[in-house]
Amino acid sequence: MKISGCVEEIINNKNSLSNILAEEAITQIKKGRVNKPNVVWIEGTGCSGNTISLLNANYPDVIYLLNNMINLKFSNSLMTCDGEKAYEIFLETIKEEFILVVEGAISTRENGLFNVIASYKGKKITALEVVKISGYKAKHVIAVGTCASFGGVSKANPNPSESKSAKEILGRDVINLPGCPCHPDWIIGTLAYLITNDGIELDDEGRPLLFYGFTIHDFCPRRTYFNNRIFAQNVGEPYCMFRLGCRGPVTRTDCPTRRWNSGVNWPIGDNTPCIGCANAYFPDGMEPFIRT
Amino acid sequence: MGRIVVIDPITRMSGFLGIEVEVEGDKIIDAKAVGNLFRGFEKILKGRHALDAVYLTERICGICSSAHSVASTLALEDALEITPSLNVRYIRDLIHAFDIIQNHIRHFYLFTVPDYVKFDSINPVSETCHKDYRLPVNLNNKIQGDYIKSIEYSKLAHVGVSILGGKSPHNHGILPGVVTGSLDRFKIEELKSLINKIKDFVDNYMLEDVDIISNYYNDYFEKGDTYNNFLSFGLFDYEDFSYLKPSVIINGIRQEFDKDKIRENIAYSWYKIEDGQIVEDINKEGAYSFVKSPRYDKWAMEVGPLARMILSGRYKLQNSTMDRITARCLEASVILKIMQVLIERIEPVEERIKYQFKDKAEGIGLTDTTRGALLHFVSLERDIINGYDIITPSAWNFSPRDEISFGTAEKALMGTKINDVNDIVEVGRIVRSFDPCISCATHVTIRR
Amino acid sequence: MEDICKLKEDLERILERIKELYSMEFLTLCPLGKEHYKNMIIDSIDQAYLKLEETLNILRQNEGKRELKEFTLEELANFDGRNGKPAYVAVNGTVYDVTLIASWGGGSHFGVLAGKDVTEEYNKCHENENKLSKLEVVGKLKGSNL
Repeated sequence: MKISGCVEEIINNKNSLSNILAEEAITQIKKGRVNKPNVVWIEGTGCSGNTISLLNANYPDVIYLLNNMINLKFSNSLMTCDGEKAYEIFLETIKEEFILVVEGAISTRENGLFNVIASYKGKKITALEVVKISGYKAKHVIAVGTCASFGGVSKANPNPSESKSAKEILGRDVINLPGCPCHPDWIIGTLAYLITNDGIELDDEGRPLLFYGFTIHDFCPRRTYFNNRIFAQNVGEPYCMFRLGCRGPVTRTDCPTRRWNSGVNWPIGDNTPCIGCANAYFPDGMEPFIRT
Repeated sequence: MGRIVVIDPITRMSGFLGIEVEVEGDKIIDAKAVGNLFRGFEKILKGRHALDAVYLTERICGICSSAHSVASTLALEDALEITPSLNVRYIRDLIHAFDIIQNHIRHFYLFTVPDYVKFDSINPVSETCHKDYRLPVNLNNKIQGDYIKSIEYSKLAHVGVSILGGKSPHNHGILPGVVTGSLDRFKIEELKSLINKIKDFVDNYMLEDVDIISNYYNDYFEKGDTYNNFLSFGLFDYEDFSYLKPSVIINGIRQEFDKDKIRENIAYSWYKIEDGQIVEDINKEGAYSFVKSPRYDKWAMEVGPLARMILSGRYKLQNSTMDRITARCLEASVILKIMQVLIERIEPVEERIKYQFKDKAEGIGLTDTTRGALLHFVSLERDIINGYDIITPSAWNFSPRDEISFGTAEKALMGTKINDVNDIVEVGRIVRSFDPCISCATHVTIRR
Repeated sequence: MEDICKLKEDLERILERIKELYSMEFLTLCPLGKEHYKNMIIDSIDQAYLKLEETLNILRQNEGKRELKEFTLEELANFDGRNGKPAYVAVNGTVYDVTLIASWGGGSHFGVLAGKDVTEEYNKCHENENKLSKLEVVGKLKGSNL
């Protein structure tokens, strides 16, 4: 599936896009053309919200993802093993081909000691170290969430944990999937695309065009209100949120059509402004969230 | 002198926690809970716009985000002298309740169950490193099936948050004085059906599963007991009905709750005081955690579902690993019942608010949430945040020791008998029964 | 200025007249009547056309002469985009209107707030770009030598 062919798909039918991609991936896996890739999911300085968001995935859901699409070998939030055994699984997995998923920013303070993620043979293993030893070897590095992609809330001024994004740490190509949290479809859709293709087309900030190709403003259902200058004066009013500080015009995601949690709602649908959570400048450059 | 065993990471939780135990013979004689993550939200919040606190503090925690939006909203309402209408409180509590249910279902199935049930498939749950699995095949399979079902129902709970709050995690709907979403009769019916569906699952599957597990692992009613100190800031507390008012039990005896007795101690935490400011110091002698030690008076308290169930008189006064797990599941059912009351009371009326700021203001927000008692404190200068403090539930439960006592979870580990010293499964089980959330716990700053 | 006011009154009168004629044309059942009203509407539009041309001419003449309003920093601070107020910013002494510029939601733009002299921030972020020509000029900053 080439991107150009997908643009129409994105516009017309965003809801089923990750589903289509996932089905394509499964077919290829079943036909033996590609293997279920090993995936290592490293959490750093963040809130684990992207893991929780992934669990909210609808079609395909997370069980389908784990059973049919990928071998998730390491995930602090989900794996049964703990302690040294857990870390050994990580060490084993990175000997072969794998995809690295980073969630959360990487703390560099005190050489990473402000975010220790394991103890192994009496030594403290920092998130910084883990990302470095796995990041260069990985077939793909996917930064899930705004913290991993750009630093996000963890890196917010004055950046007390001296956090950096995955790309700043590794200096290699990283697929950024910003969003606070990242929408589950963006994660699963990207994984599915990487299973069936060698790469995925990215914009100049490393985001897949598939999901981050247009601004929220472009497809906002309240765009008519903007064009006709009908603005909400307070949160809770069902009009254009622009004068309250809406970041839709500067934020590239497909929220207006994809929406959240099985598509039932989204922030502007809840009569509040978009706060630009998928923006590289979130949160410092996106504040005040609500201009009163 | 015993053997030191470090279990780090304690997986199946939010954030990073390591447990260091000293084992002598078959007993744990010392335990340290090591909070391994630092974020420093209170420093991030200083100088930002007052209302931004709500959306920013949510991002402390991905699994319990609504809790922080509720607590920060309460703190701002206190500071700005806003009294929300009853309808707003009902809807806000409903969002919060949906999120608590999401937490309880996910914690029980995704985080707790793999400790007791052996999985045949589903990486990374099927890869195990312990041997102590006791369930007969048919029950083992049943709970495996329910694990998969639980994904669906916990997701539905988040759909509930989203209908009322825009999205989840990190909802947009809760703000001081208002809930922003437009409600109508159809949405209310939609929510009712969601609640009934989830309640059906909790009552018919989750409660049965916890019963099965507690039958086959009944030795865990003897393991993991804490001091008999329980604390709650109250939850779903209305004039004509209430789940729980703010309450305290110390050494098994009920006392009057007084919020001025809340203190913080940093003796064993990686912090020091410099020019009246609290600063991080990873090289501090004797310190071993980024979590600070909140104390009520001088006591290390247990907070969470078990504490709430005991304080509200719905559970007998006893505590252990399995009591904690059971109380969590029972509480899910109680809260769903409360949600059925709340949803009958809400009206689809819309309210608006204009925020007025004073030159100087302070406010405190106290609420109970999934993992226990949560405190937000804000001090404002006009519409700018001058200071912000957060004491999270996991800070109560996973604090390091102080001069006189152990942290609550450390106490739970102390004296535990280990069945197989080469395969220490007890520590993970005991610790997880508290539902640790270290991404929350390490933001605490010192109170004035 | 007086001319403009008179033209405004004329245009309003013609507009009222056209509205009236439209409803008459709609209400009448006689085909001849309909034709009659249509012709009258076209006449009115012709009148309006002439008036509009006149108006534009006057506006064009005044364009060059228009006095730029002077803002002190205190006055400028009022236009911060809050509570429905317009959002103005000053760059290099000129005051621009950013109220409806898409990237200036609520009078704030990547952490920069409206109602201020933002020359420094502008030069830092848009040094080699010309973003200003697209903005409407509303005045100049007092004390600037423009």
